Amino acid sequence: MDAQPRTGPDSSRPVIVMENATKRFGEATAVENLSFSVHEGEIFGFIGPSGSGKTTTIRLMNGAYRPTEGSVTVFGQPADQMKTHVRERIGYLPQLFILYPNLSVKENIDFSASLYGMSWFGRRARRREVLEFVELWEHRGKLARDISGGMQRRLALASSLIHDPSLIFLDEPTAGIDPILRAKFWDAFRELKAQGRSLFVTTQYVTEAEYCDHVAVLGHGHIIAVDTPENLRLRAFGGEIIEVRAAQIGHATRPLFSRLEGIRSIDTSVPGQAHLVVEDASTAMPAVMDLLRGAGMEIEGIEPYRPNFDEVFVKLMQQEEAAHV
Amino acid sequence: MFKPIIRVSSFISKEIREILRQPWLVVRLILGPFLILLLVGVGYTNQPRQLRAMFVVPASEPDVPAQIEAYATSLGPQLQYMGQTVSEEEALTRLRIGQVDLVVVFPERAYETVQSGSQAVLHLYHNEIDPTQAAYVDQLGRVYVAEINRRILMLFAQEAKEESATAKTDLQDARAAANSARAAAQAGNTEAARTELQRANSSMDRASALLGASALLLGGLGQGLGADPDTDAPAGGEPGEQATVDVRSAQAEADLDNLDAQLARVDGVPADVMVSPLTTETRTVATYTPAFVTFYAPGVLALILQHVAISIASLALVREKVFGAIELFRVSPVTAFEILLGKYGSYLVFVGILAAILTASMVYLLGVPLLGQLAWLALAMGLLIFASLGIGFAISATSGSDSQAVQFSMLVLLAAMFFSGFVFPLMAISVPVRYLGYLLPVTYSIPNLQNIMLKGIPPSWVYLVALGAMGVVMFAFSWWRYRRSLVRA
Repeated sequence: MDAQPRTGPDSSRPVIVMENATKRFGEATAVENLSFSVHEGEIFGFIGPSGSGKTTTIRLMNGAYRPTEGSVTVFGQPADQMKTHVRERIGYLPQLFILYPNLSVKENIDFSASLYGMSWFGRRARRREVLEFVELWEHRGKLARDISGGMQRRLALASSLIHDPSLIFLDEPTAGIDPILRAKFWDAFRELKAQGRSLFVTTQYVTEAEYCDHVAVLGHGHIIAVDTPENLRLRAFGGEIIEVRAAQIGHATRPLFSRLEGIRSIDTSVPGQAHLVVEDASTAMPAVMDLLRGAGMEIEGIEPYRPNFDEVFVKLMQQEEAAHV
Repeated sequence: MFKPIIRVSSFISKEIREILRQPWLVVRLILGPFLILLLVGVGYTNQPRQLRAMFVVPASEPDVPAQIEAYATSLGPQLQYMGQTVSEEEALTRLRIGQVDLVVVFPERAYETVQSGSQAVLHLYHNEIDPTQAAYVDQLGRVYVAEINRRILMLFAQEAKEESATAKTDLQDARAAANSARAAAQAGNTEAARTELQRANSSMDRASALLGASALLLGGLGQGLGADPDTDAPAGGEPGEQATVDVRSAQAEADLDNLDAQLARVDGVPADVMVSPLTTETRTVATYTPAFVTFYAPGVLALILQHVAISIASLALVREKVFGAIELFRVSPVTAFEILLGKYGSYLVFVGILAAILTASMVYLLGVPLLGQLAWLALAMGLLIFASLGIGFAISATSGSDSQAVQFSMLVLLAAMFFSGFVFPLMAISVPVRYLGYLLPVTYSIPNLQNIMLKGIPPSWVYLVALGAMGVVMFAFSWWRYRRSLVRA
């Protein structure tokens, strides 16, 4: 998709700032004390299990909800009092398909464009761009009710992009779609980021955090951690991980590993393999090799271990629960 | 500057497209109301209900059954003669099991009761629980009893006329005798004069017997002729007496002339005129007198337009609230005012087209006239639709679900049926409840459309202003409510 000419993003400039934002519905607290910033030109991932408060957070940011406490600003304005020209800079892909089934793909896009005041001439070229971007141009004449669920999701994405927003809220955009389409969606998000747009993406797929510049992990309405994916990984496990494999490794070798300088944790739950958490894997690996060889073991393999984000997420959640206990 | 216009127009085109994408909805909305109109036109006969009547006659009066049957079979099509019985219990049993609708019990010795100066009472029994039908039976009974009374009176009048003809002959005899008596008295033939006077007296006695009501006059006349029964003194004899007889005879002749003239007047009046001297003949100054169905057609049209407008508008906002599009509106720059304006515009166009199609169908297919100007009709219908849409949007803005909105719409339809003057006349509804009718657009629109279409006169400006005000108030209320839904929670 050809983006309109825009100045390069300033990654130091926040487009969204949440400060101790809390939202309550009567007695129930949906989210509490949320504080983080989303900067221009980044993909900000918001990860949490179902019911953790992701949609509430996104609605606080797009102005659909007013915070009970704290503040949410978007482009420097309170989110619930955004002026029209600020709203015109925002795109929103809701979690559910809420376009009109009796209108065609093209008509739905036109309707979304008109909501943002785009004239017929103004939207004509843009319509083709976004429909080609989501690969729906060939299906533009079909009624929305007659296209597949994946196509409906892409139509919704196109509708959120038709007015060329600079900040896009995507509420679980990949929920319920196949892995191939998910990959395509993330390709599209990366392309949108490359065009200088800021994206705020909520997801239940923890692995998608890898594609984000910053990630906030949400649990029970609280933010557990906010950082880059790499830093979250370090935070979850307390440092870098070295995976070492040798036939003799088992529970009996734990005292041996504990002699290592700077060792933070030892996992020998899998026989013949150990995961050692250290501050710096590159400097610790030679010491590990010396230690094992000194103990007469034959090393089958040693390398830095990069845990996937599922493991990071589970670890963070376990730490959060342990902290609460 | 054009962005608000673009946003409003987006809703207009979206709503119209959505409606047109549902062809069956369009067919239902257009064909359904027309079929209702057509069925009303074809099916409604406006014929009063025929009552199956059974008569209970007194066993003691053998002449009565034949008279009752003669009356019952000639009283009109609303009374179906189902026979007669002497057993009231049998008749009432048939009434209870629904074999007859009405039992008429004739009284015993009705003639003697009337002769004694009292009214004879006919008892009517029915088995209706519907107050309207019960009132109809009661009214029909009264009408038929009045008709029977009239016929009885006619018989009496006819007999009286026949008797008056006989009396007239007697009076003519009396006058001739009186003339002869005067002539004889003037000729000095006292004996002849007395004989003639006696003849005159005897003729007047017969007339007196026939015309009881004129007995006093005849008595006076008899005295004038010297035939006072209390004084048996003969008239005439002496010259002074002759002059007196002469004068009395002349006076008596004059009185007889007068009585004769009165009898002639009675004789000249037919018996039915005598019994029912006044009758009515109603004329209208209206240029067009519609048939029953034609009269109701504008009302049905107003009711249909109000219901369609309320129904589609009542779903307009709540539907988007339920399926979630309102979330997009909250985030986008569109305002509640722009959304409402767009929806109003689209529905005004759509229901306006529906109104035009229904009106054309009524005029060209059902033969309902359009005597007034088309512009008046368009204005009256436009305001009806505007006000009705306002009610629909108000319902939509306050409803939490589709089904709630539909229920509200049906309640408004029910209220319109009962309180708008469509079924019951507005004046028949007591004042506090009648005000409910004034909250409905159809209450103003039924007389407006009837005036324009059937009388050819302009609509009431007061009603038009009322409709416009109602539409504006409802728009403002819907806007206020919908803004609260859109506003950030």
